[in-house]
Amino acid sequence: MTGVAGGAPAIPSPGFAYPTHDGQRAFRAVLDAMAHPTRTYPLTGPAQPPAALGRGLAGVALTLLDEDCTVWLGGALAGDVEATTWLSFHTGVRRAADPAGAQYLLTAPASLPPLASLALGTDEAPHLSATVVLDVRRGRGASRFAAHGPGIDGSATLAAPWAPDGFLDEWRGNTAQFPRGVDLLLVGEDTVTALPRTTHLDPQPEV
Amino acid sequence: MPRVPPTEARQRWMRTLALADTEALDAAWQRWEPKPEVQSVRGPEAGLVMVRGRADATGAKFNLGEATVARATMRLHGGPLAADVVGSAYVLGTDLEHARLAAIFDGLLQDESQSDRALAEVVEPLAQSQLEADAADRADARSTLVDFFTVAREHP
Repeated sequence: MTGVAGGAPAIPSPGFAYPTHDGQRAFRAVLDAMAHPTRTYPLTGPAQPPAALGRGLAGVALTLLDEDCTVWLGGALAGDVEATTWLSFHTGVRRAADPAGAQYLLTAPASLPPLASLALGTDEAPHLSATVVLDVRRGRGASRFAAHGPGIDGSATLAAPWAPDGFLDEWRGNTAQFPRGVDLLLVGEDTVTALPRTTHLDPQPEV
Repeated sequence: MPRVPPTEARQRWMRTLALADTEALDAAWQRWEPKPEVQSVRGPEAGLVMVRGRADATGAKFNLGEATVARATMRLHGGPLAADVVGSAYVLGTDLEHARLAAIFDGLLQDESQSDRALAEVVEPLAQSQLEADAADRADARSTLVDFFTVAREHP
């Protein structure tokens, strides 16, 4: 991998091998996931992503980010030179210092700011809200939610080992603001699942 | 740590590489021994850039039109290099191989141990032949120059 020696700027690793087709495929996966909340879709990212991002997050970043949008990086990502160099080289995305002003948030669940503090859009322009891309590679919890809403036939179960404490209440606050509210992308190493603002979550009753 | 070349020097060699023939660059790369490993970081790929202008250099900016541009970013490592370097190139047109080779030479030119050799063996000869071609063009144009003049006539 690219070595960072003596404070020299890191040399970014390559992005998608076939930028157009790989980008379209990843976009399709995100689109399918958004259309069918709680279903998990396979996602293919670049072969050698920065370790802090992983293939999934890197693939979503290449697909969704460009120089016209702003991103806030949470937790260890913000200080990771390899990841930030890679992101700005391949996407040209601008960094937002304040999560409240960012259009995209890339973060691990532990450093996720309160959802209500993010850009929620307005009733006239709900599309101006933030999209949160959560890195769910390291989930240890046992949370399970029952989900219902558009795109779900009846009700579905969402296993959410990544969910921080109090997530359910935060999410209920988010869905209550419809049409305003943030959308969530749950990205693993090779998978993507979506939780758009239309999806209602309830605690899963123990069977 | 790679030496950061002065901007002006880099601009000069990028101009020479961008104006060079792909064949000439290819021949120079074939001759280059020992070669470092080359890894593509981005591209070569072709796209569009918006060319903007100002009327008379003072007016408001306007979009003149789009131009096709090929670009490449290559990582060079191993071989004769002192350290890993990244070379980039943007070349007008859609010649991807041209952009790739120009990016490789940009990388070599940034490396301490290869820079002088690349300047002497690649950039200088190319710049020289471009100067000569320019001079020949100017001479050709000069030979067709017509001097218009008007003879003032006195009317009685």
